[in-house]
Amino acid sequence: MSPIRVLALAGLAALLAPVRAHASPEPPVQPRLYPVGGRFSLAATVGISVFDTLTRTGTLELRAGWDFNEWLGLDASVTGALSGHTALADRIGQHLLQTPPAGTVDDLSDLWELKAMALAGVRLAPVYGKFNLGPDLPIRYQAYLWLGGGAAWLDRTSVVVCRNVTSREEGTCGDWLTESRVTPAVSVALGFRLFTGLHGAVVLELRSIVWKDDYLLGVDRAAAEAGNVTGHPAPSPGFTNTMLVQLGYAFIF
Amino acid sequence: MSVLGAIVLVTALGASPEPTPPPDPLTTSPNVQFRVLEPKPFPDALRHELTLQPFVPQVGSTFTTHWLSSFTYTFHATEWLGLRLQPFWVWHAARSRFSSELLSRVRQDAAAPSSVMLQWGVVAAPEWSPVRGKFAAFGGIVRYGLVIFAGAGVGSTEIELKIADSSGPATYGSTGLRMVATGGAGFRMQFGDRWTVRLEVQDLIHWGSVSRINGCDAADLQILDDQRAAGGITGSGVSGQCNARAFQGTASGGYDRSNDVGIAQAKVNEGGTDTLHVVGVYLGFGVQL
Repeated sequence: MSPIRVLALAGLAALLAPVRAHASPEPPVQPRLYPVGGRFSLAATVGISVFDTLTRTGTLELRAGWDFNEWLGLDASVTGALSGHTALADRIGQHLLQTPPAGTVDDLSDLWELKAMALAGVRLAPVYGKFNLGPDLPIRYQAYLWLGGGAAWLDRTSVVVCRNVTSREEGTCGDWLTESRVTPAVSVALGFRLFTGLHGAVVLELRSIVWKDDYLLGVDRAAAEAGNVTGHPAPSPGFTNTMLVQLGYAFIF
Repeated sequence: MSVLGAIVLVTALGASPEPTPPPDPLTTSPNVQFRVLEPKPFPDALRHELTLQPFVPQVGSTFTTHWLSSFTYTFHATEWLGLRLQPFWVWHAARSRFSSELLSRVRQDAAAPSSVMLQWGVVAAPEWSPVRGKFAAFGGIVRYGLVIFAGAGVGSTEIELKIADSSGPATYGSTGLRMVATGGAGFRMQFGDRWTVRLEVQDLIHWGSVSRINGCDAADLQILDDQRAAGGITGSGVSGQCNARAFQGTASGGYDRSNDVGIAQAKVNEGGTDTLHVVGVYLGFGVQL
């Protein structure tokens, strides 16, 4: 390369360098106002189920957590739940009872109701940010993905197997088949911790809880109404997914 | 002054230390908070944004399920307020798994007004961005805004007549145009000056009864049923809105469409109304012009 070309390139570089420096300045980096690494937390949340079809659920959860660093934590929780049939599930059972008990029917899936749950899982929080709620209230938050599992205590009330029909015309039953079991559950959640200070945060999350379903096929309604055991377990019952929206508060020590 | 003297003078001036500014007395006041205001690097006002949401699944469906695609044009009138126009097209609408289960297991079907499905439509809505922020993720900074919108439009609807079975696929009848209300919220992330990614949850709400199928009301369907019993549907004597041709001929699989008349008649005679929600998760990719 000729010396003139080298000089020309050097001059061009000298001209461009300061322009680029002004065009894209390095953004200022502010240290986290609310670091959580190495800290213990206790949280309480209340939740309600969303997208209900046959069952509805309300929950109260107590959660203990430990943050290994700013983006990875571990949580363990216990949950109590109030749950029951939706109006749609009750209507299905009522309409079925109003028809004569001829032949066999299959029970419906996704009828297990959550009563209690114990979960443990990891919390991955790669996002830390802030937004302004009005002109004078900056909110710092963490967004996280939660993955874990545990055990769920479930109850089930059938809408097909009635062992005591009290009124055929009105479609009322005095003794629906009820069952209880404890089963493994897997849970995934997407949530936010909205910091209110160094020692507290509002918790808002969308949680999915999945467990294996279990129900009867080939139920002879006449036999069931006579008090006999009828039907056989579904060979491939699939899984039930319950979605909860949870809101609570975490104390961070 | 010689050139050398000038250089020495300039060097001496450049090397001299800058005077230290006097301390601001406000910094010690407990009542004053200092905030650094950073101008928005990518202003939105008076710009146009085009967003494609190619695969939108419905979540939380009860009796019907929808998959749709949507295209959203947004005019950002100010930094905080925009107007969006959103046509959508439902490319898969069908009976939900729950509804099929209900039919096959306990031989119960959803009421006709609860089974109406969207086909296509267009909604317009003002869009408000009350919250803006930025977050650090994976070593970078992403700017985002929370958007909230609500509006209305129209949509074309249909209802399933024959269910899919061994004689062929399901058949559908038009239940006409309906008003569609919409509301939603989500996040709009901005990458550079032009590119945006939106993640929104949007509800398309429609309501009403099933009083006409393929434009035919109960009286029209009775005439068509009588014609069918007499040998074949001719379409004579029905109202101008009634599309009798929709009940003529055969569907795929050789299914005789005239069999749909009786099903349509039963659905129209059911009566009742319902309000239906199509809640979808809209992941969109956009460009700002």
